[in-house]
Amino acid sequence: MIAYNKILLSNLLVVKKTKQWFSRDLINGAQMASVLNKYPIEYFKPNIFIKVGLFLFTLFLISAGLGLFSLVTMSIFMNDNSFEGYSIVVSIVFGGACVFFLEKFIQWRNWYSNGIDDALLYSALSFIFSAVAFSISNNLNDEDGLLLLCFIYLPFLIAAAVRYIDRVVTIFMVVCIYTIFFLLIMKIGDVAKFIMPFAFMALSAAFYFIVKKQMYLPQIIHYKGCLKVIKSIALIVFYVSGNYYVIRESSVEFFHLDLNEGQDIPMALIFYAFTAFVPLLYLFFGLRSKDKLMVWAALLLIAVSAITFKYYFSLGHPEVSLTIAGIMMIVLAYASIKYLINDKNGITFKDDPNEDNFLKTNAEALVIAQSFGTHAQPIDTGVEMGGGQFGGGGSGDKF
Amino acid sequence: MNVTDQLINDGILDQDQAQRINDSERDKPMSVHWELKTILYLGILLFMSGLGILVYQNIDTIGHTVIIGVISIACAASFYYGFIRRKPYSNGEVKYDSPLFDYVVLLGCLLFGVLIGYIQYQYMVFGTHYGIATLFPAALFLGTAYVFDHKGILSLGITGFAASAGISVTPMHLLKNNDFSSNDIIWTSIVVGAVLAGFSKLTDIKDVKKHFGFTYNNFASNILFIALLAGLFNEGYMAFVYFLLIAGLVFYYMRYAIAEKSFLFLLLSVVYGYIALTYSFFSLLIQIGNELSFMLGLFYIVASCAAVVLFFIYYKRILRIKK
Repeated sequence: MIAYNKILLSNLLVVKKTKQWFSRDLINGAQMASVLNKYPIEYFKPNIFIKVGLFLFTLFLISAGLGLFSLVTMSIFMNDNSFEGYSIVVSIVFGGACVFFLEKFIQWRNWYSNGIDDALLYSALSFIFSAVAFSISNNLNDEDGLLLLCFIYLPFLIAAAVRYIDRVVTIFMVVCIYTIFFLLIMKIGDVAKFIMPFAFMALSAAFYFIVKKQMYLPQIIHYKGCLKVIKSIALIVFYVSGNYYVIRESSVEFFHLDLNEGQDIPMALIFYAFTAFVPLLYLFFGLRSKDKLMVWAALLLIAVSAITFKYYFSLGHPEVSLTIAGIMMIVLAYASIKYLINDKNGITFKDDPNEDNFLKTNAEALVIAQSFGTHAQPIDTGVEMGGGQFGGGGSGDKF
Repeated sequence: MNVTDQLINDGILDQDQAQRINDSERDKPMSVHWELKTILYLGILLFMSGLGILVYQNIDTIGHTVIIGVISIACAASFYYGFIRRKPYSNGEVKYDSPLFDYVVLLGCLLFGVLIGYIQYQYMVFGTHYGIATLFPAALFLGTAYVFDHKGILSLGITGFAASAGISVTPMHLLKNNDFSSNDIIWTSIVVGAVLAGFSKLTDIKDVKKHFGFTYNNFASNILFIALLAGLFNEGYMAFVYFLLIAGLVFYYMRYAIAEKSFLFLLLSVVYGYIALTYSFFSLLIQIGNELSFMLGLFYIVASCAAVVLFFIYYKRILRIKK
């Protein structure tokens, strides 16, 4: 099922694990060396930045190839009004070529995750998408067209995610499933608006629990990254489908709910409670089960909830809220750091030793430069506050 | 199959050790190091922003002296904290165990910047020499960065230094705030970039805080490349000179990238160099301007992209790096 060299994939897993153990002194150098000997991982593995370069220039190359190809062939093959037919053919040709080269390079060169294969895969999927979209473009404008498009496209996404264990494709796959689900429920009619939030919660919960159960099965060990992606999306969509702001605005948008001044949506209290407590529950369970993904989702969603409540219950003093929120975060973080300086209940403040620190330390410096850095001084007017820090403070729209 | 079982089969691990590893995997605590640090940092960001607006709105009621006094005391307190907990200076990298240290020192520097800005705004102590009003805190930041070994403050110092020369080098504002159609800005940027890169090279040779090299060169390379590209785009008789300068810079940063194993710079030099080459090629094509040139342009893009991809695949062989 997997296109990549399976021995390479499992060797990578073994080496990754043993490297972690080695960095924690669980195995000695001789053992590490014999693992590296026994499980060789020789393949073209460029540095992350080179990977970015390879990805970008492969995409340029494919687009330029498309341009050149169309320029040469368009005048020959295209009649007056067969633009759609021509596009479909070109898309299929290019999509097929991308898949062909992808498969062949993986076979010949043992390629795995080097930027070029990603670029080829995403291009192939884009060409397939445009082929599908052009084939049904006559009724693409209404909801049925979109539904049809998703239905036809979904098998390609699933196949690509399974065969190339790609996380980005997995995101699109899940989004595609949610879209189909949404459009199908919309078909029910009037009841849809009552069912929708709960249906989305149910689907997300189903995703979450299925993935959670499968996560540690040895057969699908290579899909762990993809499963994590599905899990994160499920956690976030579960929250979003009960978030007060989303419910209220989507009721107005999709279900033509008319809210007068001072009126509230049905079952408002439930959704307020949902907005407030779900992130906290995530945090609690995430910490208890040592699930970092859930902790991250919780932290993100706590911020979203705070903004949601702020939006509806604003006191009209954003600067006071900013200051108080800042103080609260500082106090909370400080207290937690002090508390967790030694391990408590399996949670610690100590840094993970086996994580790559380069990006983290340097990224921090750049973020500081971005948020506090001095802008150029105006030469002639100069009424701006000197350091730019005040100016930075004024632009509260960041939050 | 479990990795530990697999390794027992291979005879690399024995039962006891495998048991120990499995126990350790199960009981390993979850690290929330970066999460808490991020919250702390965001908290400081929000607090500073909120406080800034509050002070700004209530200047009339609070009074300038009080505000200046409070900011000065907070700033002095932060620096005092920094100095008593400071580790002795070393030319190598100095690591601080306390997670708060970095933030307190950063806070002190930010407050100092606010203070100078405030005094300048209110009392015009530096008169209309706005450059000096920026250069002064920037100099202090640069010094502080070396004393406390703090890359964040270093980048504050660099942006301040560039700002006093009249250009914005903060990542998001590099292109937005600078008017690169003016030759003055281009030349200033080139001087600023060259000073930064040169200073970094000098400290590298003298073996002073080598790990600051990334921060210096990240600012320097971007500002230099963008200024030189702007010079190239402005055309005129200097275009050829700019092209040669870019080629030289590409060469310099490729060597730097390989020496430092910092491949961001390899990517940057290839991307900026490619833009320069493509631009020059197409302006030549337009000048020739016959029917074939459009076709030739498309062929150029296909061939050059393929060449870049091949370069990235075989750069070790092409640049003769021993592995």
